[in-house]
Amino acid sequence: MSESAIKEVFISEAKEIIEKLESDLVQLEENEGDQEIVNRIFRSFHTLKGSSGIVGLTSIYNFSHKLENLLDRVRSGDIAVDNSLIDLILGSIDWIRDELFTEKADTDESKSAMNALQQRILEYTGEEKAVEAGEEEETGRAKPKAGVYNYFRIKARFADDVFETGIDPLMIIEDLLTVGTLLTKNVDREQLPALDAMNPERCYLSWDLIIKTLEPVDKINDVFMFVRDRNSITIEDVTASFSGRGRELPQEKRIGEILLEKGIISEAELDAVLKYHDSHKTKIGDIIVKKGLASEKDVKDALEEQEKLKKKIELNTVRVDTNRLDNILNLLGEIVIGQSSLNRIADELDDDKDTGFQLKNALYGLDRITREFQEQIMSIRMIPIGPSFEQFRRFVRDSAHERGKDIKLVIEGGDTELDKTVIEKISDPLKHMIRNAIDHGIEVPEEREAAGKAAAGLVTLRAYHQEGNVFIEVLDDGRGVNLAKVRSRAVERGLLKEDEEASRERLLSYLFHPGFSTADRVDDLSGRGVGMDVVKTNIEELRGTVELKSEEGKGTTIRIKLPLTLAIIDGMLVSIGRNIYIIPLLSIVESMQPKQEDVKTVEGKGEMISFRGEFVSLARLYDLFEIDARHKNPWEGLVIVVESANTRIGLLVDDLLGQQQIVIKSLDNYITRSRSISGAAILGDGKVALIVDIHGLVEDIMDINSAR
Amino acid sequence: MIKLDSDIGVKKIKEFHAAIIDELRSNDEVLIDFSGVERIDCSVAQLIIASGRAARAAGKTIKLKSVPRFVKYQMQICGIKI
Amino acid sequence: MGKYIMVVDDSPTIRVSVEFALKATGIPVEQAENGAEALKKIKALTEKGDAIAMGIIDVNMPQMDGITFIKNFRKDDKFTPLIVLTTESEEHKIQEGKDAGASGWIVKPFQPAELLGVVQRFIR
Repeated sequence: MSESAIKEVFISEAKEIIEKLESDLVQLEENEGDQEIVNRIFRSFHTLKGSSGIVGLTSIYNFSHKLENLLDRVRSGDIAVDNSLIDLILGSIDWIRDELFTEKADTDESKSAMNALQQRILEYTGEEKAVEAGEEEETGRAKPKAGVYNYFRIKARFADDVFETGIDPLMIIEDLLTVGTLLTKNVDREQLPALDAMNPERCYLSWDLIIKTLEPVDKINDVFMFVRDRNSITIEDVTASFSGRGRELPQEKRIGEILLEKGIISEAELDAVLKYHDSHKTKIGDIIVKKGLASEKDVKDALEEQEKLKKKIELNTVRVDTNRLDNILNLLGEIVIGQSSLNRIADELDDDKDTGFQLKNALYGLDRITREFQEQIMSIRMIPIGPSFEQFRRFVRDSAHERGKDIKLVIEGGDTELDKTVIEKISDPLKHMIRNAIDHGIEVPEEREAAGKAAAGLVTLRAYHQEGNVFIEVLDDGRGVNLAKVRSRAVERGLLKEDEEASRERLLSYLFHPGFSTADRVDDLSGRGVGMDVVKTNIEELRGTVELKSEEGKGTTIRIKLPLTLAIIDGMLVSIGRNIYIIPLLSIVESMQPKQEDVKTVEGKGEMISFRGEFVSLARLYDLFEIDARHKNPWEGLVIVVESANTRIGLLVDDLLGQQQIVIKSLDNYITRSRSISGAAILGDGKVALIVDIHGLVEDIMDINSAR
Repeated sequence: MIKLDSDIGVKKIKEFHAAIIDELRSNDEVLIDFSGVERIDCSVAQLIIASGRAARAAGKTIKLKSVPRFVKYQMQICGIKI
Repeated sequence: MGKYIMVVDDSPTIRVSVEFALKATGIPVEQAENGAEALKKIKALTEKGDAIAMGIIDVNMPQMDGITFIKNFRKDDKFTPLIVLTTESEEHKIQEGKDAGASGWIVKPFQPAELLGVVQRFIR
């Protein structure tokens, strides 16, 4: 069953509902007081609403929602049935029919017809509660999280009959542990009676846990969503008691901010002062006093406060040379290698013998500590990206003025923390992207106004943490990339055949091709292009990815995804012949053994395998790396489905060997220049394994396939 | 020995409970075979705890055989040391 | 002995959407148009030795509504998770559903991934 098939089912269901509605309405006209008929009509609109919502027909969904409300009021006797009401409902059904089955759908004519009908419905129902705007929020994605750990203490005491509602407390605790890292665990088994006295269908266990997570408390509430009201669940934010490890240190503040916080000056006033400051180079405090925005005493107080804060920060800080930190990190890397040797030895020990168990347990514990250790060191190297973002304010204003544009820079998530080296290395690429947004994205004020936009353009820099990655976005609300021009340029350059179909994503990806848009062509493209290939290379060196989204007339978003740490990754070890390769765990979607009939060769696309109803390209790694393999048939070996930049491919390997933390050793490009390998790692037994660069590999495969 | 069904859980916990009591009555060592079990639920975990206690009190032992990695993890969550 | 997820809703669109969304679970979906038909189908399945892993139940249906179905179902089966399907205009039904023995709920319209998320809170 595909989505289009679901739509077909909906269309035929809607047809039936409409027929039923019409006959019910005719009957209602004859028996105006018949409650049963009113009920049936109500139910029809109710069903129509639910089904249209499922297939994403929002206009019909919203409209039938209003009709449902109207009928609900009729049902409750609030509104009497008369001819004009029946007319209105019949008219509404006509509109729905037109919207579903004719060309009129979504035209201006149909919209104005809907508005007229809604107006009439409103005359019956009166002002409706304005809930619709808020609804979007709930289904929309959760807000990006700040890069600060939260600590939560969760006490979960389940009702003794909790099993009787299909709920497994263990599953809930498992889910909870996917939200964050477990710090302390206490399982209360006091309530558990003796074996022969217990009722095994009752629940006797309860938990008291502290977890550490980057997620907000909502995520934890979600886990307990279905059990909260009948069981005793308390969730307490205990971040404060961990603040020694948290990031509660006072921040240095500017004088303007202090006055703003105290409510002495307004934001608009501060903006004006800052503008004046930029052009006159007078002290901020002096300007504020001269403009009469605050008294001299206010400014003096604020200056003192600023001093105090500075001292507090100095008292709490030690300066350390970053080289020393790097040394510690390297040593930790050696510890991790030593640990994986121990793990290998432990794995060979007999599971049923006590010593084997004990050793493994001890190693689990050690593993947790090293991870924590590593996180702590990494967090020392982490600094907020805010200052790096701030430095672009000036750049944006100056470049905008030069080009006769009015552009505001918005900074979001400035307190998101990144590795210091990463921040240094993304500064140039960021500048490239911002310059592109200013030069080619944002239009001149006249053009913007003509397009119905605010005269001032908006460039947003945004940073946030998500799922172990850092995301940095550069957004503009300019004219977007002109796909038609990208297309003709691609044809010109021989990347695309004249009549070849190309998806939006594919066209946009050309912007990253080296030399795709040279400086003299840029204005033609009226979009991006300058140095985007350079940007991409820079980001990939940091093991990150770049993604560009653009909507013509509305703007462009470039999203950079970077790993939190540079030196250590979680990897899956796989074997191919006598070689071991490492696949970054974050890229793996699933591994599977396809059936022979699931493997096909598709003209122009090469070998494909069926995975969850879609076909993904198959990469025979042994072929690619020119080595020997035990299994050359996908249905005999294993296929690992990986994902990069929305593209999934299947990798044929011999076997999975297990996962472990991998310390990356840089290859300095001399072993291989393949884009498919990002580095090497030394395994516990001293063997070297190459780390597969999924991003590069996916691109290589796509290149090979499009060259076919 | 008790061989657990692959879908052991609260729906079958009564039989499992009865079986353990029965086995503990007549044996000094009871072996519970987890092979083929992909996951357990809370009812299974607490029954294992209770039977461990009962066995110890009677100077007997309960041994868990072929416990898959994930089930071990689940047991750990429930405070069972394995 | 097979396992099924039973979806009970009078709208075929909802039924096929649920089936579509739950493909990833690998558990086959059985459909019924109302509570009465669902009870009948479940009886037939259990007589064959098959079992219901979970039920996904609309509240508002002709013949036998969801709440009545849940009450009846719970007479013989305490432990199988049941999820109630509602729309936001009938959220009070969630409470009625829970009182009758429902395990969870989801509000229509939903994205396939949302439904899958809710289902995976109960069965794996």
